[in-house]
Amino acid sequence: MVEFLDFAKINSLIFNLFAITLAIMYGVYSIFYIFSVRILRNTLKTQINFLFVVFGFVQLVLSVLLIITAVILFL
Amino acid sequence: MSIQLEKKNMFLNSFCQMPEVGLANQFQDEKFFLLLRAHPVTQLFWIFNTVALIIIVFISELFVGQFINPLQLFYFRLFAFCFTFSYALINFTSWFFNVGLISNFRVLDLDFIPLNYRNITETKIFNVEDITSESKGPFASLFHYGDIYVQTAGAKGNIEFHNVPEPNKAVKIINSLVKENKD
Repeated sequence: MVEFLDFAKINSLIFNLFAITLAIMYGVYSIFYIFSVRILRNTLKTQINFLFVVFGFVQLVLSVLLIITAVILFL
Repeated sequence: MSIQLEKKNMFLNSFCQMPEVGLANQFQDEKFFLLLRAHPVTQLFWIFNTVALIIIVFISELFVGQFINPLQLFYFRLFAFCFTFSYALINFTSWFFNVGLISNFRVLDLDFIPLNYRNITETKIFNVEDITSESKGPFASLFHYGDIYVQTAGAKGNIEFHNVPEPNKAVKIINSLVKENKD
């Protein structure tokens, strides 16, 4: 029975599934952050509001990178 | 307006006099006198957590690296970086947008938690009945910060500014604005 189970592969598959789930969740979070900050920026206008937009998009780019890495892990 | 305040409006200050900010529903001749945020010392908790997260990731890499392949390790590092960055960013955003604003017309308390909560309480300055400042704990005494409670007339909820620096000075400014408005 043990001969048929490759634990290294199973562990890797679990890691990869977990990785892609986290990457998608992070992507959704970064989109929510951008919309949430847009409301904040419109309510309180300060000199450094643009920074939050920049950071929001940095998060989005990072989430895309995470998703790409997670997909490559599967291939 | 007879109240003259020295302009101290560095954008990352927690006690800004004559701040250069705008509101979505700002009146035409409304002038802001004070912008209050929580004292930076009260934010040390999440700054410490961020540093601790970075250290934990570096230490855990030594163990995790033995069980996963290089690409998985790259993903682990990238996700750890993203998580730490987002944790710091959301806390900073929360601190930056949680402000108390005092203008010549009104007192505003803007409470924001990015992603899930937004509450704006305001009262006209002539409705202000009583202002109390409170400093609790050794840290508050040491770094000179505290809470300010603005009680309003009628059944409206009170306005509270938590952990703001120089509460006595802020109360003095609000009091002089109230007095001027009622005279």
